[in-house]
Amino acid sequence: MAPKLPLEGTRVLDFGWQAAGPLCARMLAWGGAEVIRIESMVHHDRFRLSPALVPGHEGSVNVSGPSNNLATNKLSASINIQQPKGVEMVLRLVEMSAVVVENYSTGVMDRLGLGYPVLKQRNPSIILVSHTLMGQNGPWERVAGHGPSAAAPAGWTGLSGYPDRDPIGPAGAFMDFNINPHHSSLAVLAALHHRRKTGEGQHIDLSQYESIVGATGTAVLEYTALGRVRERAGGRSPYAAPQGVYPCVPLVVGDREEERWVVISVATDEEWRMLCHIIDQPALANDSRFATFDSRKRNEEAIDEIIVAWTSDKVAEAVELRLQSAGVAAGVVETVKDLLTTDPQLAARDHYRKTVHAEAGERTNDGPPFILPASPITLRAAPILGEHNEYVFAKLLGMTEEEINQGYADGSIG
Amino acid sequence: MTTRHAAEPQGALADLKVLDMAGPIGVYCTKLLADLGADVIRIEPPSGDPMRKLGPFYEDDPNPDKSLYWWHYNTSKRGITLDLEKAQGQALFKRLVQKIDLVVESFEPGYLDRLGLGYEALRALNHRLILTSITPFGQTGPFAHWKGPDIVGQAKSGLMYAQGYPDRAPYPLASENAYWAAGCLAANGTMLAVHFREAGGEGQHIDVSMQAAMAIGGTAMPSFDITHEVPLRAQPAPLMTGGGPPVRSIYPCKDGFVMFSAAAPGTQVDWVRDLLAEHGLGEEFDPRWLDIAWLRNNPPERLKFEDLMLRFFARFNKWELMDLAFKRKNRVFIYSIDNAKDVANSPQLQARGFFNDVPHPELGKTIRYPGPPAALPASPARISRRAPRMGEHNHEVYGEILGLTTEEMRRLQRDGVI
Repeated sequence: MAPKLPLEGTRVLDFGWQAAGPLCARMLAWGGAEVIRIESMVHHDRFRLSPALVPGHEGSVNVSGPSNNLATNKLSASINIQQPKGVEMVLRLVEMSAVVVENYSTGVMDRLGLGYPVLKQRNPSIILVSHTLMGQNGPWERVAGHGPSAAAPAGWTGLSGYPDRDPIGPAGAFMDFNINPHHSSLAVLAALHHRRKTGEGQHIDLSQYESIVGATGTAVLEYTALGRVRERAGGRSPYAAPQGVYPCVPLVVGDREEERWVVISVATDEEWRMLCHIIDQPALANDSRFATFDSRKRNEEAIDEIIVAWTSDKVAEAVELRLQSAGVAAGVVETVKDLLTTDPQLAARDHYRKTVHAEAGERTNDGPPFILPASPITLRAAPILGEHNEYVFAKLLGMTEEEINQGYADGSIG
Repeated sequence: MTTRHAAEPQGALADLKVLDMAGPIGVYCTKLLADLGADVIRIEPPSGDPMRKLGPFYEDDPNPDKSLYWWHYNTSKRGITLDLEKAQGQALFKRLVQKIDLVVESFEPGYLDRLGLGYEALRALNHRLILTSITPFGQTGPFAHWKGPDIVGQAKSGLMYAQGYPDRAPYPLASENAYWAAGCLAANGTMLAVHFREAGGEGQHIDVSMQAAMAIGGTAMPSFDITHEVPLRAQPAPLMTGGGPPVRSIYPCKDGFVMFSAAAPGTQVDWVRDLLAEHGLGEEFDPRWLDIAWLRNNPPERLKFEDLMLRFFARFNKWELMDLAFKRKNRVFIYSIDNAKDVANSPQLQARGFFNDVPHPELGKTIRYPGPPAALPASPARISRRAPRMGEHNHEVYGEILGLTTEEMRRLQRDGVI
């Protein structure tokens, strides 16, 4: 019989903390896998206290907006893996699981007695995916940190910003929230495919450093093939001119002003002529300084001044609509408020999904960025810590009520 | 240099056949699939793929077979030419579709329908077909037909507004990161559809939005959901400074720059003091600086602290600094800010066999490429061949998959179809 979701019947144990591990597992949960977060009530994931927290629930580890957003469609069981009894429970779960996700520092899983050789002994076809900053081996193995740390040696950081100023980091750990977990979830999906064909599992070694190199486009190849080291380009593109971020009329919000900006990007002569027409400067279309792509590229700053003069007294959404309607690429630099409250496109796609969480109430969550019409993905709210203990201990592990109570008493559960 | 893949077992996706018509917005999807072992056949018009015009070019020769953009994003693929706007080309495409698993494309919504090659038409030929469409905003909705280069994807996904210097415009991430997101998330969605099919489900038409893919960016959205506060461009460079007036995070050293997260959560300032003491600078460390909150809010003292760090960093190379910071038990968070040359020479990447040396026989050269983002030892991901030259695999693909004779191919070529 056809399943409802792609990964129905696939069980995943999620030891993830912070962002990269949990987000890798979230993709599998979205796909219909039964993802069980293995957490501790004592040493819980610190990200469970990451702001913003829903007010009125002081001391709760279940009301962090960012943390709950990473745990949609997951279950939660509380097992103390620092106790041998807890480790044995995990290993019994490993026997009935397909994937284990973790993002501890190198060596931690081994020290816990949950290294790949042990898991493989209990389940030869298990897929373990490890996320570390530098990978499982090599001279820099000990270098640890968050995704944005790895972005520096990966060459990503040095490419971001203006040539005359320090590099600019991402406004949020884009590496931990997107680049690394989605490179690794893809690797898991590929490994599951391999497992379906061959029955073989494996240990996927995701180095965040290598993964971020994968998000620097052609920069490395430009060096290895051309001997050329790309410098920070200040937001310019080699494939468009003009291209920039232009100020519009600020929005008055209460007693303060909120900046508004619009990006404009012109790739072809036709788009350039259209832009000149829209900004009421048709003569520019025949100006030799701007006649070809190369000449526009050389005179980008002069063009920017002209565009700024045109956008500055206009409403960003109006600029966007006029240009896009005429086939010129433009986009309002949206705030999260815009995304959630006014963006008609995301609303039309039903992108953000509301769920009702046991403690945090009705909240908004990321939806999948793809629509799979034959196997549509619906979202369930994140679990509260230990919410599915009964299911995991009684149903999956077949423990009696007495054994479960004993587990709570000796701290192996909890 | 060791290699990750001494033996050569097949990649994880070796049984999947893919037709690839994705432009820059989606081509990373098919590169990922191809490097994971899928048989990806790139289809380009007989006039050449527009991507071949994107530089820079090998030897600065703007030859369509020398675009580094083309090279990078089309590794491990085969390439055929096919004119989809000619009736004969459409007929050939329909024959190919019956023999493959996936089609990945990024045309404007409706384009394939107008050619009679939309999902419904293709599904009638192959009900197991998975069609992945990657567009700026998705197949339907008010912006579906809007243009969406990378920077538009970044602008309309929420991250960029809070990114950059407060005294300058919001700043888009370098290296086409919205295209990156569209391609990588599309590959995830595509593989979910493959699993669905293998579990007994049907094929389907996947609708990927770059805007939505790029919007997965951090804590801002779920925080706004609670506080209704919009994050602003507040810090000069939010490189893990941890909130509040930042301590300088980027410092020059002997051969470049390092990133030093003095105030990142988890950093112990006493470990920084110990590190300085190990290098004879302990006397100059003012014990009051151990209170990092105090230090942050005391500009003259902050400058003194930063000056001491500047003098310390100036003695070493950036890799030396990272090494001495992390070889300690109580590690200090210092990271080398590397450029592409450093990346290519990284001892870590070389030791792990990250790079793939890819032969370009017609140039008489082997060129080093960054390898796939994750190591899968049982089913290695790797670059199996350089990007195809124009029409390089016409004979192979049309012969092997469709059984066309040389004569038939010659006729198609004469008619400008291939």
